[in-house]
Formats: sequence, C-alpha cells, structure tokens
Amino acid sequence: MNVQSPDVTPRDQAAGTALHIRQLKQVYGRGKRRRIALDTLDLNVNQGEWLALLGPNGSGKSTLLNIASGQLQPTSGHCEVLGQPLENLDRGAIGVVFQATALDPRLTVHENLSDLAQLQGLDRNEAHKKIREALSRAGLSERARDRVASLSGGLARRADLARAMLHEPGLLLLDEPTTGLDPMAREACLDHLSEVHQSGNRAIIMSTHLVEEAARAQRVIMLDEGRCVADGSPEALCNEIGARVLRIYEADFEPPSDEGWTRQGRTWTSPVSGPTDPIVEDLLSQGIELSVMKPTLADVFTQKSGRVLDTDEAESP
Amino acid sequence: MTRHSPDIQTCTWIVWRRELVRFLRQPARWIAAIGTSALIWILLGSGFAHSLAPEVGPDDTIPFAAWLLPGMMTLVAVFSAIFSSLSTIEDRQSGWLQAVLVSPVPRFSIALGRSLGGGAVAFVQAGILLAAIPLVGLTPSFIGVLLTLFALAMTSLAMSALGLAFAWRCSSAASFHSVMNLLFMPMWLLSGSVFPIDGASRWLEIVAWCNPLTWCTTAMRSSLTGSPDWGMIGISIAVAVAAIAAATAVVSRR
Repeated sequence: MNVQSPDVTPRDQAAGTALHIRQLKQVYGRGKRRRIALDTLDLNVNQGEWLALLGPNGSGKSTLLNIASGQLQPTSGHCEVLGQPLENLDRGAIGVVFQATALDPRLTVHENLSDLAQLQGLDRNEAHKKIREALSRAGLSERARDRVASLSGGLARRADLARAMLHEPGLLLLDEPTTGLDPMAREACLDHLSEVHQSGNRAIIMSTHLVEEAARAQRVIMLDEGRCVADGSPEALCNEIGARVLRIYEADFEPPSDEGWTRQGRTWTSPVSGPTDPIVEDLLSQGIELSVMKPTLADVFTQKSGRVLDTDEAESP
Repeated sequence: MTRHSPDIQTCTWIVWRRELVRFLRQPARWIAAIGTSALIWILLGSGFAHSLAPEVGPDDTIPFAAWLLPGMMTLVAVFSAIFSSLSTIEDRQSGWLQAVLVSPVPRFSIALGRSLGGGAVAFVQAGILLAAIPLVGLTPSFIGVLLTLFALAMTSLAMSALGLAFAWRCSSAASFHSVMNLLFMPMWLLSGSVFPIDGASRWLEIVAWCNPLTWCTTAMRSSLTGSPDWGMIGISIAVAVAAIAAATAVVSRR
C-alpha cells in the first residue's frame, strides 16, 4: 500500500513547502543484490511542521534523509527542498544531525561550532555571537571551552544540535538523533528539540524506530520497505485502529480467530472497542489474564503493515 | 542574519588549521614524528656514515649517508602523509566529514585543506632530517637548502593528496593499510631512495623513472648535493598539482 499524504499539493504549489517528493525511488545494488530502499514515495512536508519518520531498520528512513540532504542522488523521481530541486539545493538552508555526533572530539565545543558555522558561510563575528546564544539555549555556556571528548553523550548531542542550527536552517533533518543516549538523556534531547520547534518556523524531519519518540512529533509517516503505510498525527493514527487494544502476555495463547490478532514476542494484541467488548468479556470468562489499553504507534504500524515494529523497548505487562 | 556562500580561502584555511590542531593535540603523533626523524638522524650520523659512496654525477661522489638523506626524507614524508590520511577515515566514522559534506563548502577546499594540513605535518617531520646535513658530510649552499625544502614541500603535498584520494574511497583503516602496502611502499622502494636506479635492471629502471616519487626524490637530492635539477624541481610541482587535482576529483564524486 502506498498512502498519499492528505495535504499533498501539486508541484506548482510546492514553493511554500519544506520538502516536496514525487514518485521517489531509490534502488541499491544490481541483480540478485538489488534492493529497493524507497518505492515511489510521495510526500509533502510544510514549513514549521515537525515530522517523524517511523519504521524498522531498513525501511528507507535514512535513505530519504540522505536524499533530502543532497548526499544521495535518487534512482528516479522528483525531490524539492525548500522550493529548490536537488540539483540547485541550497546546502546553507538545511541543517543535518546524523546518528553519530558530527563534532571533533579533540576540539573544544566552541572550536567545533566556530569552524562548522564558518564553513556554513557565517561571518566570523556573527558566528561567535550565534554560538554564544546557541550554547546558552542548550545550557552549555559553561562547557564551551571543554573538549567534546569530555562531554556526556547527552551534552554532546545538544552541542551537535546547536551546531546544526547555527546558520538558522529552514529545514532540519535528524537521523535517529537519540541513538546511544540513555532514557533520561533521550528525553532531555526530545524536550530540547521541542523547544527548537516552538522557537521558529523551521520544518523538522526526524527519523526514528522508537514509537515514544515519534509520538512527540506533530505528524508521523510510517515507512515499511520503502513505502509509506500510514500518515497522520500520532493521535489520529492511534484512533484510526480503534479506541483500545487488548494485550495478552502469554506466548502459548491461541487467538480465537486470525483476524486482527498480532504477536510480538510473548505478547498478543488485538484492537477492541473497549473493556466491555465481547472478545474481552469472553476471554476474561475463560480466566485469561489481559490488559485493555490505548493503542500505541507500534500497534498502528502492525495493523497497517502486517509486520511488527521491532522496537528496542519491548512492551511488558 | 548574514549568510553567504563560504569562500574557498576561508574553507581551506579552516580545514587546514583543524588538521594541524588535531596533530598537535595528539602527543603520541608528534612524539612519534620527532622520534622517527631523530632515530633516522642518529642512524645516518653514526651507523651508515661513510659506508658507501655511490656516484651522483659524472664527476662527483658523496658518502652513502649523504646520498641516503633525501631518500630518508622521502620515506618520512610519505609515511607521515599516509598517517595523516588515516584521519580521513576516522573523520568519516566520527561524522565530522558528513557535516562538512552537507554544508556549502566547495569540495576543492576540502581536498586542498586536508592535503595542505597533512602535507605540512609531513614537511615538518621530514624537514627535521636536514639537521643531519653536517653529520653526513654535505655542504650545500643556502639556495640548495631552500630548493631542497621546496622539493620536500611538493613531495609532502603530493603524497598527502594522494593518500587522501585513496583514503576517501576506503571504508576502514584496514583497507587503507592494503593500499599502503601495495602502492606507497613499492613507490618508495622504487623511487631511488635506498637503491640507485642507474644500476638496476632495464625494466626496473623504466618502472622507477615512471614513478612520480623518483622525480621528487631526484629533485631533493640534486638540490642538496649542489647541482639542482631544475627540470625535476619543476616536475615535482606538477606532481603536487596533479595529486591535488586527483584528490579533488575523488572528493567531488557523489
């Protein structure tokens, strides 16, 4: 299934959009090693929008970001970034955060930011002013003269985010920005990202395979094997599959029917209308322990793609 | 906010300066750099001095240690440039390089800045060996020393650029080591640095004279021994320019 975004606009209206993609295809390898990373994808991201690309490893998230940042030439299709086709991409108008922190561990935070800001085309004096402001916002003013190697993963990530925004890009691309962070640092990073989003009219596109991260965005695009399987706000997507889901944490449970039931590890899940749903009452009468809860984006992914989203944090009772 | 396209000079300067700062902040690297040169300097000054006297010109002979000095300078320059190239692979893995590649920096600046940075480190490290001149029995003129330094600068720059061109395509340090063993080591052995080319078999002589490092070493040796080979000095400039062009071409490929 290839779901089109509900707010897709024609090409001639693309000027006000941050990212405009039509029939984008990316193929790696040849012959038996041929693999389709992106399969005729259509996507429109508006200015000021915070979009999460959610999908398992190999679903095409990083490929999409690599194309949008000009690192990869697509096999076919059309891509416009901030109203410009890829051939005329204004690299100074985008900011990119990679899975690994793009700062030199042997240089200080200030040296890193100063070098990279000037490489983005900022005047030296203006760069220093911007760095002071950015470090203050990121709570790193005290660490400006420290080498990056001495920072914790969370602080280095904040510094990296500050680096990517020094030149005030209109589009911020983040490829799994919380990789390697502990849960607290991850939460702090997402809070910081939320502040960044609220502070300006820039579009943010963030790839992740974690549903709790994707749920922080305004809009979620679910990718599976290079195709868009769902598109909408986290709430709308969760509501789409039903008011509640029931979960049974028994590996040897045998579902009453094939329809609607999915299994991840030891957990069986099925959408239900609520705690009084006949299925729930029937299972309870059989003495089966179960929980009825709000669906998550992982449930949506499973319903839409027929596959389980392989998350780091397995759900538990 | 004032944002403009970054100019080539600023970008080259920043990339070059970073290479030097990184070198200076890795004590193991500069201790090894000075240590290697000092070790060769001691060996030349005592162990091998006056062992042999191969001819360098039709009417002139010099001690083996004196003849060997430019070859040792080439060796140090080649390996120092190679080790600087390894930082390219490190940068790719750390993400710094990706951040630069998605910025509006001209690719030529990346190639030139990195080549100049690696070349400067190699130049200083190999240049230290010139302190061995009195020990090996050479008495070059001031101009001769300047020309030697110039040829050394071109050699260092060329090797650094060549190292960058190969390191850019290597995904790991291990794969770059194979390039080092299969390309750079034979290049040095066939450059007339340790064995005189003139006495070699015909095919080896042809191969050696096709080797750009031979031209650079000859330029240094001729300058140091008092009869500068202007043709070879000119060719060493061409080698450096060609290597930077090759590095730029590789870096510019997407």
